[in-house]
Amino acid sequence: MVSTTRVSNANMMSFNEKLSRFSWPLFIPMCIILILSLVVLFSAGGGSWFPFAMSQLLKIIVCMFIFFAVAFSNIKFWIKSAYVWYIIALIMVILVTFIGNVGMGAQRWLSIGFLNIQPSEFIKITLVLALARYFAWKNSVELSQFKNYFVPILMLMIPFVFIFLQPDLGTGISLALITIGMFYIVGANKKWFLIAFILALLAAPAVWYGAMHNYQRDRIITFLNPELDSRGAGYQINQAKIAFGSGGVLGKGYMSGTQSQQSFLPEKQTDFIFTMLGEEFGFLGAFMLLMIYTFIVIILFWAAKKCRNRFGQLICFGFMLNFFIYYFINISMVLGLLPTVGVPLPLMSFGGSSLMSLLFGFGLCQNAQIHKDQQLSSKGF
Amino acid sequence: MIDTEVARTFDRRSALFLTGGAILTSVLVLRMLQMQVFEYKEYTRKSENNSFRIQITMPKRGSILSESGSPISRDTSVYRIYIIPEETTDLQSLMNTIIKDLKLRQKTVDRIWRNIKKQQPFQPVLISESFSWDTLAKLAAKNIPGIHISTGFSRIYELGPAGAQIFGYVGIPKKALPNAPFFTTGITGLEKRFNSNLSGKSGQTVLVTNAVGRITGEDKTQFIQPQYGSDIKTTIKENVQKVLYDALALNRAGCGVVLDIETGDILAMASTPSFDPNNFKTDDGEEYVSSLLNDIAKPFMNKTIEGLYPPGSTFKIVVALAALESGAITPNEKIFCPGYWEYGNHKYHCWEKDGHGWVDLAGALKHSCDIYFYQVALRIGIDAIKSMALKLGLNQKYMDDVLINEMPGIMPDRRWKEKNIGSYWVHGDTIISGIGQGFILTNCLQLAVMMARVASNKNVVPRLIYSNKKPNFKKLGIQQKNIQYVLNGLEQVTQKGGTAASSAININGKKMGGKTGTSQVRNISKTERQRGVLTTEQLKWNLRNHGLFVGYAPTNSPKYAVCVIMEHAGGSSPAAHASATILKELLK
Repeated sequence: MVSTTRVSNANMMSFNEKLSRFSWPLFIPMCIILILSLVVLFSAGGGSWFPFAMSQLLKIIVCMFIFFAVAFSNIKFWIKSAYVWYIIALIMVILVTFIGNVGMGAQRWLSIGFLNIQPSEFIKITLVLALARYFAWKNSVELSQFKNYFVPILMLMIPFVFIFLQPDLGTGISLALITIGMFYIVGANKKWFLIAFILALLAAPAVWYGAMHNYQRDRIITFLNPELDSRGAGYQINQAKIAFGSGGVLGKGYMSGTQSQQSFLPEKQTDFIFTMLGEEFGFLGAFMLLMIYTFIVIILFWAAKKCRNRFGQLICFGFMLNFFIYYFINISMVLGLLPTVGVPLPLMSFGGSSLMSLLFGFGLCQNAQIHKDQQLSSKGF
Repeated sequence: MIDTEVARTFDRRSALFLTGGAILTSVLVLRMLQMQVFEYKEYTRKSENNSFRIQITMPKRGSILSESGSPISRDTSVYRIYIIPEETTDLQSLMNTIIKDLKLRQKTVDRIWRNIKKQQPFQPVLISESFSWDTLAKLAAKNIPGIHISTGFSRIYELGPAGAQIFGYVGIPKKALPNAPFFTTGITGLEKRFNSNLSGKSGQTVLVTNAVGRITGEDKTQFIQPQYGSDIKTTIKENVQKVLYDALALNRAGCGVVLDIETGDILAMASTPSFDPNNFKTDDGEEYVSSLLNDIAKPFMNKTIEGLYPPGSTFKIVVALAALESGAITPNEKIFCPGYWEYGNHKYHCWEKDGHGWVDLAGALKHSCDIYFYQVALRIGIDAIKSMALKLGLNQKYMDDVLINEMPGIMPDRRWKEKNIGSYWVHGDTIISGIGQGFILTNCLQLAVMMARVASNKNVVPRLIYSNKKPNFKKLGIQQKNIQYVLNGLEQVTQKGGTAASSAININGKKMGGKTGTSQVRNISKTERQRGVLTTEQLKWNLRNHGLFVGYAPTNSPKYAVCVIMEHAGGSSPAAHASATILKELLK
């Protein structure tokens, strides 16, 4: 390890010093997408700030406070409280399974006053936080021992079971992929993945018949054979494909998407917002968004690589995984490459929980960037 | 700070993530390209099907007009109430509402249920086209799913059955347009032949619908104004048409044509029994149509051009002119008629069993003496007869561009017989041709043309479509004196002692000339003739002789020609009466 950069104590860092380490290449594309989301939501509201764009703008403003608070806070706070956040999110996930409200048969939410909170959005980022906290102070010997993975497996499995029961297939799979990715990058034995894969295959029939809901099975069957039922379970995805495909290269024009504007496209402001973007702005618009996402992922990866402390590295890498899986599943789903599983498009979809968890995640990464040269101990000193 | 080994693992293993990420991102980009670039057209088509509902606006169909410009068949605006059975969950209660609100008769209700059962559930079933605005408004206000109210046009046939086969009618085509369920097209007659002129061009209104089919607006850029169809003006005179039809209707079946000799205009053309297309849309429409289809007298047939009849004695005009032109007879030469004529080993009978005695040309025409014409025909031969028949317009088609199924008939000669019957032409064939029997077949229009040509000595060509241009008919090339000799004979037909004496007319000195004819539907055998020929009353209807009359008026300067054929009337006097009635209407 070469240490040419002056290493200051985290407790001593001034705001100006923090600001100078703030990652603008991460912040600016994030803001561009947020603005784009307002533009598209304005169109989704039929050329009006209501009911989506204004509401989302307010949410963005609130979440921005959280973002900056997290970004400029002391990283030691997050090391100390990592498991606490995870447990809070886990409790909400468990609560929501029993007392939550179900909408459209997918994600559940908790109603706290006027707030509708989707805990499954928060568990993703807090899981990253907890895993990073867990793995950061393990050395290479410890990381090659299987016993050191019991706790992380439990960290995944407890929320996974509850989320699967909700039933929120998309978030469940995202959690599993994030965890697998984290295991791999910290250096888990490759054989374990093979064994896990075989076990998953063996368990698949039991899950298919035992744990899955009818509508989930329908969705997967529909995905495999979409023409089978273009009015029923396949309706949504067929309409989405028509909307997206008919956008062409340049799109039908802002606020002129016939499919989206005439409500053929269900959930156009949430899970299917990418379709609407594709219909109105065409390949050009959709491709540009995808490139901004890719840019963010590259920046996050670079941030992880450049982190001099393991905690910040794993935070950035885990969030990168989370972010990539997020938009990859959503876009694949609306393009008919994956079954409709109910995952929002990060930073674009209408809704507060997803936005808040994402900006919380971006805040953590910025925080990790700011403190990338800090030496950190597991005790938070 | 970071364990070197751990750092190395991170670097090594992150390559997999970068590769995987790059591959997965490429998959997304390729998929986007596939959908938005390569399959763009297919998705666009689907998108348009999805969000546009095209409503066809039917144009007002052109009218069929009479010679004076008054409509014979015309479109009138109507409000239609119709239901689409699949749009309601409770058809019975929907029907109950309609029955109560519109006060439908049981017959109508039965018809509606029949239609519902017969059709696919997505096809509209017409409830009614005629009801008051109040009931319409009341029903519309209820906004019951499945009930539709639309504006449109309905065809009205002013003349009803008079000439229905000629003017035709409209109906819904076999493959109904899904967007325009009540779109009609010409099914028969002029309506069919001139459909492209009459129908005009339909317009369209493109409505934008949302996912549940609710109309959210209109795409004005795709709006097309319907173009009205153009009118077809005919040469038909309404009053004459009505009189002709009424006169024909006195007999069970028949047909008639009235021509303006100077222009060739068909002033009236009718065929009976007929049908009233206005009835097709009524609740009993189906029954009505099936009864018409079962009628052996063939109501749908336009007998004036589709019906072929032996011309009978009306053909004697042709024979007389042919003989005069060839010089085989003079008008004053007399031939003795004892009531029969033996030639070869066959005995030919005159219709007058007791004979006419000595008759000259005028007398032979006046009394329609068969013996005279047997002998004259034999003198001049079939070729001379045929060439005169063709010159006078028989065995020809006139309405090819206007009406369908016109039958040219038969004008036989040696070659024709050898080819079609397979035996040689014999004298007997020529002899019976002399009285318009044998193989000769003509239609009513041809006989009217024959009469018009003889009366004018001009090559009159009939027309049904009006034109203000007066045609310039060529001379026929028959010596005027010979024409006059024949016309003299025809004038006497309606005079005392003539075969149509009872049908004589005299309107301010304007008189009718003409020629009667009866054409045998069956052969009278020798034994039957010996037993005594059965009288008309004793014969079954469809075995009785047809009665024919060709006439013209006024005799001093012929202006109108007429041919009336009364099927199975037994004799010619009903046809002569009808002709007289028509000419009276024209001359008054």
